[in-house]
Amino acid sequence: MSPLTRGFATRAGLRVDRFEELATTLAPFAELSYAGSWWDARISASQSHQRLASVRNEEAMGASFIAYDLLVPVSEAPIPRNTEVSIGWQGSRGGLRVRLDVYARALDRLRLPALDAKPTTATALGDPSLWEVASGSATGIETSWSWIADGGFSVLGSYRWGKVKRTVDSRTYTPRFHRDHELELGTSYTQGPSSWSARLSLRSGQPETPVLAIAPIDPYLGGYTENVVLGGEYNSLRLPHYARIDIGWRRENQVSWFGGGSVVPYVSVANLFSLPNVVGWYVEQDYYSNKVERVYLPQLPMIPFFGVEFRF
Amino acid sequence: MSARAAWRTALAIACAGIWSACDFTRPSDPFAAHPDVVTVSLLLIDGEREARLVAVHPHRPRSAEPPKLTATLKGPGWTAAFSEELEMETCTLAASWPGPVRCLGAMLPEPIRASSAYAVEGTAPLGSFKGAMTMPAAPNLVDPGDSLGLPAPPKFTGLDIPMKYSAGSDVGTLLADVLEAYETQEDGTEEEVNRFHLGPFPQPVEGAGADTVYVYYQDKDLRFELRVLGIGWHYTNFLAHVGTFPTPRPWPSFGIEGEGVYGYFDGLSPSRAARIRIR
Repeated sequence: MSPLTRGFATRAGLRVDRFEELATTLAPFAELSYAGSWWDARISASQSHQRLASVRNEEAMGASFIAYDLLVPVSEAPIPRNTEVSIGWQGSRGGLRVRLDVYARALDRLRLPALDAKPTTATALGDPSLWEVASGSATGIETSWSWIADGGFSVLGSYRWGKVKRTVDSRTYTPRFHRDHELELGTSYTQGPSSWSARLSLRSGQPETPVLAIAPIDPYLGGYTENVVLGGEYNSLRLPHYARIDIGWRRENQVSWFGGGSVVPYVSVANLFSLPNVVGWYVEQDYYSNKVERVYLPQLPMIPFFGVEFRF
Repeated sequence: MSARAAWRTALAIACAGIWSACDFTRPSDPFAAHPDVVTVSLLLIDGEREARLVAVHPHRPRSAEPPKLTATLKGPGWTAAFSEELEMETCTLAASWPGPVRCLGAMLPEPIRASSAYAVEGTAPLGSFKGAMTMPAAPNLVDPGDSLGLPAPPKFTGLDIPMKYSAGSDVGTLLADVLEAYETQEDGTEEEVNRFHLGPFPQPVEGAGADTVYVYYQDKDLRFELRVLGIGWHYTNFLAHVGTFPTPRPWPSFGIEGEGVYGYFDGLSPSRAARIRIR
């Protein structure tokens, strides 16, 4: 770090990585920052490499029902690369702390599954060795804040807006796990040994593909009809928004067992009101009335957790 | 708040959540696709002098007005308009289409020919459409030969008839088909029976060149003709996307493109027929 005029500072660096039997990469980094009395700001540019690919990039709808974020090693060159420019600001006064970041990223040499003709119904947890070299981009804003008051009450939250694209072969699309807007708001209250918490999560819907036509065909000329659901641009629309409220309670009790420790009974409820968040839909047509509906595929309903922790 | 009160409150909230979970699913939405969309099924048949087109408004109730469209077929040196409204049975065996349907026919100056190129163009409520395709070459039925006699299996069972055939790369779908089926009555006379009497024909066969077709046998001697039908890739591509989830663009070629007009334009070429007798 080198001091400039009062409050300003710069940082720069160069990292060299040797990925055995694959490549040697250079990762430069530069930052200019300013520190005020109660706030600071920075602008930075960096490049990084990672010999990993995320299984969560699969486009299959089945992937939405599996809670995973597996990383697998990239076994062949080139090494995935992230080039990023970001501007950040943060400040704190009293119990309030706020942070804001704006970023733009270019992602090169990613490993992504090829898009099938019908990506939604592709197999989840496919073979990563078959993935193709791809690229992507991301721009967005991220803010976070926290407020800690006297008397055991605190609030923290974040809001994120982003625009994300992936390109595999010649097809550019918004990946299925991306949500344009995400607002998280959490609060907790502690009184004596008990603490209460609540969390609100509001997000825009996952991407979906618009339907242009439900076109009939007489398969094998057999004298009956089935439907082909013809869609428009992949993932160009959004599903209904996502909303969820979680609550929790825990109480810490000191005990003398096994030389002393604590027993913490807790109760928490995920998706308290069973809000029917959805990951997709399919077309259903009533044979007699010819009425066509989109039938939503929901995520998890309300799930209660009960438990006791013993720490010693 | 005492621990007991907190516990009771938590339980009450959890019970409320469990109760609300009983009605968890998000209600279905009515599908808001454009009501003026038209789907077109156009399959030319080698050797026929009439082309038939099925047009449907798939997003309208069946009681609504069928599609109004104009269409012209272009062959080698000629054009023919789909100007004749035909009975649905002429166009398709399917009795129930998802919407108001119209069967249009065009009389042609010459029979449809395998391996020849054809084009279609027209207008529909949302705009114009056009398409092109080349008729597939007829598949070659290698075995059975011209005729085959088979011993009758036990009554009310059936038997497998081995087939060998070949088809060019322009054929995407191969179907075994039965036509002109007759049962021999007790008095020795023959009575024509529907091909469905023998099984679900046409039925798909493997593209590798050999397969068997299963024919139902009731209790009377049978004779019928067996052949292989070859359909091109536009129909095959369309059929491959049957399902309840959308197929995003870019689609494979279906032979038709247009504003608010979707469907397929393809050709069907039959092989020679083999005469089969079971008794």
